[in-house]
Amino acid sequence: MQHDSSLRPDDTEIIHQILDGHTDAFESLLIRYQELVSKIVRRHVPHDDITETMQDVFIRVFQSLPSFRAKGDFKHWLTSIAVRTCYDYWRTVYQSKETPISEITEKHQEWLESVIHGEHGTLIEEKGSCEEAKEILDWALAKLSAEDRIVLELIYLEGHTCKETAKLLGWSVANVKVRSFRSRKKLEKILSEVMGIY
Amino acid sequence: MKSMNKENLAKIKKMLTVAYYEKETVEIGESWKSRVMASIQDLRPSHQVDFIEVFQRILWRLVPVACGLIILLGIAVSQMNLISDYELVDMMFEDPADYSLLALNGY
Repeated sequence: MQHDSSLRPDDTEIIHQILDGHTDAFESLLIRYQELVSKIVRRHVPHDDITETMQDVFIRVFQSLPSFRAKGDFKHWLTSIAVRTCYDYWRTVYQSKETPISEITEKHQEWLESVIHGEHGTLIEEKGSCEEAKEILDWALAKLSAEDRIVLELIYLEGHTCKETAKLLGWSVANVKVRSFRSRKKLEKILSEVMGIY
Repeated sequence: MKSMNKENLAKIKKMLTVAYYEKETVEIGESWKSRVMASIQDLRPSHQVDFIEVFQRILWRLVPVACGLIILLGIAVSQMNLISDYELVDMMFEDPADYSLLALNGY
């Protein structure tokens, strides 16, 4: 069963050691899961803030260890903390109104048009093309709220189900469904505006 | 307001998804690990104080110690030459002169 195999016996042992006051044992968890956390964080957070956010994730994991149930899936629990930390990162950024919104130029509009007309159909891996896609994506996501952004990333871009997303964020499924629908509509509207479709 | 059709949106979505996954990796060095561990060392797991858990873990461990102390104190008290109130009253009735001398000395 996937549920049982994902919790390696040493994880529980390490957690018990940490809770008994052997904080050095946390390094084992750090080494074991830094790659997983890095993979999650770098999808959601700008490059310059990845290491700091990863540090926040592990500090949060350490502080929350007493609430972890030994029978649970540690990997899933850790993933959930990582996603929530990324969400909190954007909440803080939006609250401080420091969201960098890059400019959309004619180059980006042309790129979108070329995608629609199928010019990039076989050039997905093309370096320059990908850079423009990244810039448009960052620009569009920066126009959304932190809630819409995280839901859009998890469902629309990563392909998680509403149920999985709800579990990761600790929200209700109904809330995620509504958020997902609205955020997708907002993104479509933003992209339509770039294309000049009114 | 007119919006993009589904086919065009699907094409854009495909490209944006590729861009989303094409993020640069970060090098996690030893210094980062040391920094995290230093922050961890400064913290302690925020245990929620559960009275029953504390009772089970600590108080029961103290029971043998408490019993030992009671026995030791009992032996110590029995070995000491303490004068109880009963013995004082008994002494007064048996030898009033001796008692008055004790009273004069403040006993």
